[in-house]
Amino acid sequence: MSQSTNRIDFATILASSIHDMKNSLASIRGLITDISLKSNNATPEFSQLEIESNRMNNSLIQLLSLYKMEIEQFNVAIDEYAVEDMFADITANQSNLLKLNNISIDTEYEQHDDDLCFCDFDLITSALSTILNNAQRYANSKIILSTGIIDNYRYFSIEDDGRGFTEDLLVNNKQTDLNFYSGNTGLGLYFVAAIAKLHFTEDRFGYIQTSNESRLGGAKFSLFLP
Amino acid sequence: MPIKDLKLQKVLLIEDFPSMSAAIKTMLFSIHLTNITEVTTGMAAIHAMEGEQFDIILCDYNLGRGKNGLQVLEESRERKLLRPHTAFIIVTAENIQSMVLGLVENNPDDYLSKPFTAQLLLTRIQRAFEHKEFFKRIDEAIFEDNYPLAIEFCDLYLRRKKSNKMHSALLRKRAELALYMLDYEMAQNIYRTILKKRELSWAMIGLAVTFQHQEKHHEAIKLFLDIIHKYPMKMQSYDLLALSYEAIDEHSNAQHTLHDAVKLSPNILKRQRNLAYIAKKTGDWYAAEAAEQSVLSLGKYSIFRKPTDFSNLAQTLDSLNKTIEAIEVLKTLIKEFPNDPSVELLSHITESEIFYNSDDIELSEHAFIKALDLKQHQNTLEKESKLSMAKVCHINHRDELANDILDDLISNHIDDNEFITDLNNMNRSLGHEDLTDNKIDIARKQMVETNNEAISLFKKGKINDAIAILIEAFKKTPDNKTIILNIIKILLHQIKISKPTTHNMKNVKFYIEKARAGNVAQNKLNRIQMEYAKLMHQLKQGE
Repeated sequence: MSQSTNRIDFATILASSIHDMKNSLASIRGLITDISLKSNNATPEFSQLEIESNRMNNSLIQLLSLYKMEIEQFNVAIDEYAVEDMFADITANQSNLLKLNNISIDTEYEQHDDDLCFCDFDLITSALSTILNNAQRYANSKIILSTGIIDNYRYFSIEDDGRGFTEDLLVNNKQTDLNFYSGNTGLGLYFVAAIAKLHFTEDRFGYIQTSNESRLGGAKFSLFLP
Repeated sequence: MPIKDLKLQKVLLIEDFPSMSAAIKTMLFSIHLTNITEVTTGMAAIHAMEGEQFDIILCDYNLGRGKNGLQVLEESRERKLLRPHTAFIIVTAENIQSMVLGLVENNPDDYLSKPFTAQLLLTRIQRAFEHKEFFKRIDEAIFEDNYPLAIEFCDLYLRRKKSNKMHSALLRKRAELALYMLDYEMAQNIYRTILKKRELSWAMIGLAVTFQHQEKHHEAIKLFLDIIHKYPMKMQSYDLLALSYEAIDEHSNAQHTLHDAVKLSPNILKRQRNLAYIAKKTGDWYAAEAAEQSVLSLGKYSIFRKPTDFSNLAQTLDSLNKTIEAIEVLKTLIKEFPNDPSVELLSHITESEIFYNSDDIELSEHAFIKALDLKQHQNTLEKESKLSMAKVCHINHRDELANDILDDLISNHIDDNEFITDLNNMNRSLGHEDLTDNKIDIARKQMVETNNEAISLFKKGKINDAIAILIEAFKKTPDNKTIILNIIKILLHQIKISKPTTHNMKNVKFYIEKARAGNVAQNKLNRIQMEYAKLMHQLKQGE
């Protein structure tokens, strides 16, 4: 068997295993919702279960996407989308968690004539969901989700009131390489940075920034898209 | 849409796993969707849709044996079981590229990747409804062929800046409508304006399609190649590129283009069928076989399946000297379409031809005798199958019958050069060259005479007489495209100088549908469709 056939086989195995795991996760999540509705009181265990299943799901998507990027089988489908719709998707996928954890989320739009974003909708919403999922693990009570335009880039920021990023996760400019070995948060950031880079125009690329300059005193993550 | 409205919405949930179905049901209840019909197979879903109309259809992609989610969508669309306001959402846990591409190509209202939350499901349902509601009046006008009215609504919404969010989708629709009304300048302007701001694949494709409509095929090809290079997952570009290659007789390039497409997105039956058709033109029997095998397996549960998919594969296998396999395929054909005499006829004709080709004269005769018993069903056959029928009649010395079939084929398809060439080739292989050439000349002369007579009557103002002559000819040769097109043109003219009524519009629509069903080239239909749409608009305004 040639090397290239080996690769294709592995891609198929990976994809179908992930498919299987996602199916299981969907069932587990259904059961969690079911039990939590029946028991009628939101215990922290439910919230933990949901956070963990979200993390698993995000990791699975990351795994497959990063693998596809590596073997250059990855294609972005860029079109124009309303940021309003993007926010709705990002928060909708986390709604139960936010409720369970008593974390409030504020969304801030900078009102423009056209609140539109040129991107791959599925990729960017799943990337931002990953970051939001991490943020609520560390946030105490509040998260701000904001978007606007700076220097002709569409940005999305997620700020929390937790303890902030550790030193090795700070990315200040477009050139910084991430140390993605530092656990799940690092890998998540690496994933989002890779997705950002896939969004480009003739002379500009997407990128991410992390800092501890959150208006809420915790971590601040920003994604910039050309 | 406010949540209280959701309570009234009828949901069809199609999911084969009981635990998943239960989980989704819990979710639907939590967002106040309580009117739920559950089914576990694609077939049951189709039956449910035949019985009642749903507002929301949630369909899992993988449904075990039988139809998959995509085939449920295709069939419900093809059979018009979906109401325009129904939101069809496909649910999937798969990430396999071939599946995702096939899904995107069929354009469901949305698709959701498992696992998802109730809130996300609600968000997506509301978004689908919001979109449908926004485009409601435009889509209704399009549904009635009233394109000018659809354009009026588009322009109105664009002027009013009714929604920033929908602006781009509106422009896209406006450009498509411009194309439909042959307003190439408008279509180009819209696409170019968008492209100046940002390079979006749909605008590039739209621009290339505009070139294609103007028969600027070289320009179209150049742009499609660029699109495919930059956006290799925009599958429709491959089909359109192949169409332009075909238009300039570059069959081999067309074949390669479709070959690339099926490697990426192999689950689209019509593309595989088209690939097989073109591969046969280039004489690439192996490629034709591969594509036809795919057509068969994709067709298993598909509304698009046809008996000729089997007979075509059998003929291809025969060309590759795989006689035994070819005969097996015909046996499967009979099994898959039981108690259908026209399918049996098709099978026997093909069988007879195949045995003749492999010099098994006795078996060929045997199959032919069985075909003869069913010859009263020959009118249901497609023209290629009728040609095979004529061939086996000749082989078995039933020249009179063969000639009748050929006469009929020639007069019906005299304006189809490709088919007449095929017919000639078949005839030549049997040594009847002169006869057919002669017949073709006579048929051609007759058609020209009929048309000339009609046109001269038309010019003298005797429009009704002109129509009468053409309709007489149409009754004799109902598949003749030139006759149909002339009928349509004269009828449209007559309506224009009198005035459109429900009755005369219905009459001309009948012939337009005939032309469409007979695969009249789109470029010949474009102007007709536009004229028809204008008159439809006039009719509706008068009402």
